[in-house]
Amino acid sequence: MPSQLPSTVTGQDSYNDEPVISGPTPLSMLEGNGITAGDLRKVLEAGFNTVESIAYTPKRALLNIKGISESKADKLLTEGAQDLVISVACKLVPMGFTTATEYHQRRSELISITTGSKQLDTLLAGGIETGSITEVFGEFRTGKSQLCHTLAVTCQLPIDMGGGEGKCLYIDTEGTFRPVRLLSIAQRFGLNGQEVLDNVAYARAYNADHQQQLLNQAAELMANSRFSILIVDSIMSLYRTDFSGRGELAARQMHVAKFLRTLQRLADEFGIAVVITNQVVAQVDGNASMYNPDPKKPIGGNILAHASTTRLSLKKGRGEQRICKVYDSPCLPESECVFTISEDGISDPKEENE
Amino acid sequence: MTDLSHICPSFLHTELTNSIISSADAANLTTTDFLTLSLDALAKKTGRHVVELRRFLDILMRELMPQSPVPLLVVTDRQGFISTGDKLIDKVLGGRGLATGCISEFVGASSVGKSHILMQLCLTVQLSRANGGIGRKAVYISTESGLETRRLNQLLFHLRKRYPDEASNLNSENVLCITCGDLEVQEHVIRYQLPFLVRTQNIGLIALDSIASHYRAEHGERGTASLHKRGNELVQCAEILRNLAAECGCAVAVANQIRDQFAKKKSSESEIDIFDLDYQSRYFSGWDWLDAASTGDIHELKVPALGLIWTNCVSQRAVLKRNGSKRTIVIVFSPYASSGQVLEYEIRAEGVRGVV
Repeated sequence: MPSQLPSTVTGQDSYNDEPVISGPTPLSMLEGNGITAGDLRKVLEAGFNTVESIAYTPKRALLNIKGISESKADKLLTEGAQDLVISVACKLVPMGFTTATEYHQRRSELISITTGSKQLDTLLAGGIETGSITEVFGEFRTGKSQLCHTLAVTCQLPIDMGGGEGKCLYIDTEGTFRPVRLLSIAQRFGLNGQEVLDNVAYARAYNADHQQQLLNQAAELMANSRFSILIVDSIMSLYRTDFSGRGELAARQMHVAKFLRTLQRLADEFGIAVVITNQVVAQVDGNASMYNPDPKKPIGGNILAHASTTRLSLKKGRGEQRICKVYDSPCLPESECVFTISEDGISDPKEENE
Repeated sequence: MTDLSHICPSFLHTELTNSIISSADAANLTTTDFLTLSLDALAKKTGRHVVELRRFLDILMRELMPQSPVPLLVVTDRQGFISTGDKLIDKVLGGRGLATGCISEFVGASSVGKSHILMQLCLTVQLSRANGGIGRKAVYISTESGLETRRLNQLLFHLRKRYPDEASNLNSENVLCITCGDLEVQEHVIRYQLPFLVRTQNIGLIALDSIASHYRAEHGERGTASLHKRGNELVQCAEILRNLAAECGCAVAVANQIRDQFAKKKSSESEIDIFDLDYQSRYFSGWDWLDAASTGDIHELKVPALGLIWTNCVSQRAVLKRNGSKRTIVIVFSPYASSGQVLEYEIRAEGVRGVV
C-alpha cells in the first residue's frame, strides 16, 4: 500500500489538471488525518476495497465492522466524501451531486405517455410524465378508472406513437379493473388484444399492508422486464377502511408516507410513470365554500398532497364530457381542458374533431 | 460514543489525541465530561495515565478557546442578502431579500410555491451585488421529486432577459443538485458531502426541499422514544446547516411541509391556558387558531411539520398560504423583518411576483 499520499484534501487546482478521476479510488487515499493503516486494514477485511465503497455506505454498516468506533466511522465518511470528487464542468464536486444542466439533460430523456386525448396531452405538455407521481382525483364516474385503463394500453405503444414501449403494472384496490375494456381500447390503437392483456400485470390488493407488499414484488418484476407505468387505483380506499378515527390517523399517515416514498423510488429507479387515483370528500364543515365554489377536496391529507408531483382534478361535464384541471404541478400552468370517455377509452370531444 | 470529533473537527490528529479519542469512545465520555470531571475520575474511566490526560486536556482547551474575536462591525459588514428578484417580496423579508448566515424556512401546503421560491433564489444568488445577488452558486438538495429543471430553465430565461448584462453569469451550471431517496441518504449528504461542497465551491445558497418528507415517513411511530430520536437528528442536521451558513456566509433556505392541527373545540381565548403550547403556537406557527375559531374554519387549521424542536432550529419562518388562486406570504418571526406583514403574490411565467 503506497503511503505517500496527501493526508488532507489538496487544493482544487491540483485536481483541475486531471479531467476525470477514472476507475475506483484506492483505500490508501484515506490514510492520515486520524485514520491509520490499521483502521484501513479492518475496513478492507470487512470487504470494503475502495473509497467509493466506503463513501456510499451508511454509517450503520461501518459501525458493524469490528474495531471501528463511531468517531472513526465519521472520519472515514468525511474523508471519503472529500477524496471522492468528480469533475463536473471542470469543477470538483462530491460524487452524487450534478449540475442542474446535466440533471436537465437526464430528465429530458424521460418520456411522456399519451392519455389518448390530444387536448389532455396538450394540457399535460405531452402526457403522463415518467419518473414522477401523477395523482388523479375526482368523484365517482369522473373517468379516473377509465383513464387508468387507457394508460394501461397506451403505455405499450411504441415511443413515436406516444407510448412507453413497456408493460403495465396495475394495482387495483377497489375491484374496478375490467380486462374487457382493455380489449376495445387496444383495438383503437391497432394492438393485438391478447398481447395487450399479457403485458398488464394485475394485482388486487386486499389491505393496506398487502398494498405495500405488492410494491416490493413490483420492484422485482421491474428489474426483470421493461415496465413503463405503475397504476394504483385507488390509493386511499384501503386506508379508509383499515384505519379508523383520529386515534389511528398518525399511524395511517405514516403508512401512506411510506407507500408513496416507495412509489417515488420505483419511479426514479426504473424511470416509470406512476399514476395514482384518489377519492374526494365534500367539505361540509366551516365556510370554506365562501371562497371555494367547489368544496370537494382529495383525501389523504397533507402527506399525499406533498408527495404527488402533479395533481389533476377531474369533474363531470355535459354527457360523456369530463373536465380535467391541473390542480398542482411544478411546471404546468393552472388551466383545464375537456375530454370524453368513449367505448375505446379516453378521447377528444367529438364536435371539435370535426 | 464521544462527541469530541464533532465538537473539534479541526483537531490536530496526533497519536496521543487519536488514542484518547478511541478510549473516550469506549468509555462513552463526552467533551463536557472531559472538561468537568477531575483528572483522577477521567483516568479511572478511560484507563489512561494522568499525564497523558493532562496533555490531552491542554490541547482540548486550546482547541475550544475562542479564535481571534471578530469585531461587530465586520460581522455586520459580512451580512449579505439575496434578492428574490421581486422588490415586494424582498420588502416582506426585511428589505433586501433573504439573509445569509442563518436558516430560513418557507412553510406551506402543497402547491403554494415553496419550491418555486427556492428555485428562484438558486438563480438570483448568482446575480452580482449591484442587482441584489451575491455572485455565488447554489446547491439544491431535494427529498421529494427532484429539481424541476424545466421550470428552472424557464425562470433562467426570464432572468437573463431582465438582466442582459449578467446573462453570462447566470447559468444552470451554477446550480448543483442531488436527490435523496431516504433519510439515511439525506443525512449522509448533509453531514459528509455538503460541508465539503460548500467550502470548496463558492456556494451562496443551500436550498433544502423539503426537510420534512423523510422524517415523516421514517419516524412516525408513536411514543416518546421515536420522537426523541427524531428531535435529536433534526437538531444535529440544523446545527450542520447553521454552522455552514455562519462559516461560509451562505443562506440556507428550507422548505417545510404542514400538517393538520386538531384543535380541541376552543372558541375563545379564556377557555385555554395561556401557557398551553396550543395557545402559544399562534405566535410561531403561522396559523392563528384564535382567528380560525372566530371565522369558523377551525378545521382548516394547519401547523408546520416537525414540531417545536424544528421551530427552534430556524431563525426565520415565512408562511405561504393559498386560498383558491389567491396566494399570500407572511413572515411569522425573523431577526431581519417585522412579522405580520401580509403580501399577496402570484406565480407567473417569470417567477414569483408580489401583487400590490
